[in-house]
Amino acid sequence: MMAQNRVTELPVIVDQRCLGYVSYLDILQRYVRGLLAARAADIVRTPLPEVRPDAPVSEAVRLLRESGRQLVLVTTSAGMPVGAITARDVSRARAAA
Amino acid sequence: MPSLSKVLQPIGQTFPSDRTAAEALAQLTTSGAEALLIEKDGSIVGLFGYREALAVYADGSGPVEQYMRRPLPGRNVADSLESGADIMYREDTPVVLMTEDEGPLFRKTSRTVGIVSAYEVLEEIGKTTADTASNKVFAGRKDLGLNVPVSPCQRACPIHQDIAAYVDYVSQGRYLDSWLVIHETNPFPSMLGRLCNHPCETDCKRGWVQGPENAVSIKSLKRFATDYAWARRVKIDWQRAPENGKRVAVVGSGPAGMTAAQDLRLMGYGVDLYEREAKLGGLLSASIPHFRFDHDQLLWEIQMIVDMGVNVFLNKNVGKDIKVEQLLTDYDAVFLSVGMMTGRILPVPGSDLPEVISAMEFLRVRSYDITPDNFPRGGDVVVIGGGAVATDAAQTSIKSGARKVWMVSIEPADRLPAFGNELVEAREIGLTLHTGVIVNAIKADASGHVSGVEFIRVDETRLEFDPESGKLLINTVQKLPGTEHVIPCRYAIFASGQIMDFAQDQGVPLTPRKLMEADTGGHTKVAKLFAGGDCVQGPSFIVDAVAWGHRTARSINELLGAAVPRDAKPLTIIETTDDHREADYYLRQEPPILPAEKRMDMTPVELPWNDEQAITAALRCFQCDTVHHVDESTCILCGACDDVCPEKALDVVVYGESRDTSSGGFVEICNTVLGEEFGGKAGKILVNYDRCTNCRICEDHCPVNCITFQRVRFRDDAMQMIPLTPVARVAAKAGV
Repeated sequence: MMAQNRVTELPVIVDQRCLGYVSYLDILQRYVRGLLAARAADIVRTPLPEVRPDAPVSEAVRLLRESGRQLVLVTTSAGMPVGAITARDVSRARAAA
Repeated sequence: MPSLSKVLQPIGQTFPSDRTAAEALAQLTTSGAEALLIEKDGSIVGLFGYREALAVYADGSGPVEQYMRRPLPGRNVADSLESGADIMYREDTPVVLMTEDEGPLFRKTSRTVGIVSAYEVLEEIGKTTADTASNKVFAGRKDLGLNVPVSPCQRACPIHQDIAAYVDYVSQGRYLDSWLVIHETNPFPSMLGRLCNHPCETDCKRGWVQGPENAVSIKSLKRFATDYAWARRVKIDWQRAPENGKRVAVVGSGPAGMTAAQDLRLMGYGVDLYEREAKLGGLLSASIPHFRFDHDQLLWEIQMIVDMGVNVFLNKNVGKDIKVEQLLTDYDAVFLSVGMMTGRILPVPGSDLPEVISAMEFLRVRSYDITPDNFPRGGDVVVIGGGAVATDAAQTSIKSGARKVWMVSIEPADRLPAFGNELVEAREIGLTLHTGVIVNAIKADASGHVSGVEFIRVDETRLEFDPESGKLLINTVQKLPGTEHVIPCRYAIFASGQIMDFAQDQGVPLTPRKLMEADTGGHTKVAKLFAGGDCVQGPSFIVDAVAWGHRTARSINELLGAAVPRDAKPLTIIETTDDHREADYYLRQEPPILPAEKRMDMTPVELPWNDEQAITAALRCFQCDTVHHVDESTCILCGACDDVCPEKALDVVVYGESRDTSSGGFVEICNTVLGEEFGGKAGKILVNYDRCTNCRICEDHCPVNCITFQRVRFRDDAMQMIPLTPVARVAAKAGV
């Protein structure tokens, strides 16, 4: 799924709640160690930075830079994920501006 | 082992190091590449990807050299894929430079020949990795701050029932406790205890090894606990949140709508429920024949929801009697869960004859205990279709007095989509199968009544099936000319799919498949309008519809609620226990059914279990919600637990020593550093919960008694069990 969607981090959503994210690094590491029989929930990292839908893009950029993540989750006030912003998205927005 | 050359990509465009970062960003976004390779004096000196580009967001006027990543790690193209994955992991980089050796042996030089990106490596890993038994345990409920695992069955269940708990309660004889746990997330256990497609059993650890060790009979245990509560005439008195003054319209009283109505009432919303039929239950009461389950129990469960204060409007067809637009004006939110209640009749010649009916309509009429017009008691019936609805229609036809009933399908007999046991039951009471044919026309006699159905054979050798769903790929059907033949009959029932019967001029967004368009939370593109269940995802299982109801109720609360805590449900820990019982060895048993000669009317065919059968079935559960607890201050890393484990599920790892670590476990249950008296050893214990069967032999053999097992049970504080009042009992009997 990562390869298909050209992302390196994927949020793990269970029942409209974000448990965390799976990083390509963990998959590569498990591949090297021969431990790829894991489910996403077993290698999930937490937490993923979150922004509200009405936050400015600069807030997402700040979170991405400070957390070192490739992905920031867009959630409602109750934590329900509605989307995600990647470093690629903000870079494209910046280039288009 | 594949080499990196398999995923090698050309370098493509490079970018000079002295130009600005803003220009680099512009080129990066227009090129569509994952990263730009930065070139200086003819050689690659760094990488500028989207992560580096974040720094440009505020100011990108400086040269790209200031922002780029360097040095860029490299690997030889002849190295293994593992080697590439390893360097990406160690250097935290999604791109690695590829080099190739050139020149004679002692004067070798390397030149850059391309790059490898993480995406190609991941794709290759995905191709070559088989998803074997997965460690599904020990990953959930961390949100509660407790060391409580979600067992594989609970994970697989669309409504995440606490299966290990209710099965355990049955094994202890605490049947009403079991029923209460079931009702925490499942408003229709009477139905789902008989008709659920039970994905929980598919994932039950007891059944991971094929053979006599089949899965625990979770579905039947649910039915047993529900039968017990029904016989005791109890109901649940829900403690609801205070009324919040907001009103929600729920359209359709099937499993999705009723579940949403229950959840919304619990949250304090006023709920008006619109149903076009003369009774509640949707598909449950209108399409599933009475011989499958006890409809009185369904009415009892529906009544429990209605008693919570749901306003019911029967015989109201939203879309015709009331417009959706009107509902959106009158209510704070509207939930459409109208299902797919209309059967499809294939447009073959003669399909408009009066004795041709869809299976859904046939079952709907029969659910009111009325025999449809023109139904030939003592005559022959042909049912066209090979799925569960076709089997229900065929059995109902037999039980309604048809002389001979044919079930005719394109699929060969061993690929019929109908559930195997239902097909066997139907054949025992006289169903005749005719497979490998497709309907060509409905034949009429001189007076314009059905006299037979004409079929034509299909080339069975060319039929292909979807590898995932197992469904027939209809474009692989090829008719064999000259094989036309007629089965004489006086009534034809089409069980060839369902469609949504809902006015299309209501402004509800639809997909190309003519289903309602909504996300998994039920949100549509129209403000305040939600949709869920079969009308969104197409015909599916009852438990999926219940899950839609829960999810959409939460979405509505999300829209209308002020501040919704993330874990809104109050749970009290009622047991933290180390009690242990053996997962005793008994063979799986299916509930008995009535003998064939007694199945000729609409009496429910599945017989109940007695206590002994239920407890025996419950004792087979491994209790996967139980986990090891190791006292790290006591453990001496002796390895006794590892040695005695019959499933080889444990690894004791001591740093500096070479010990067998073949379990493949990675859940760490102990990480300890011992004192001087033990030689200053340090190490950890890893468990593979795929293999652990909770036998507790490790606990028995631990020389320092540092291993215990623990499980935690919860109680939903909003639930209280009370007797059915006489009034409620009458209402439950009489319907709504």
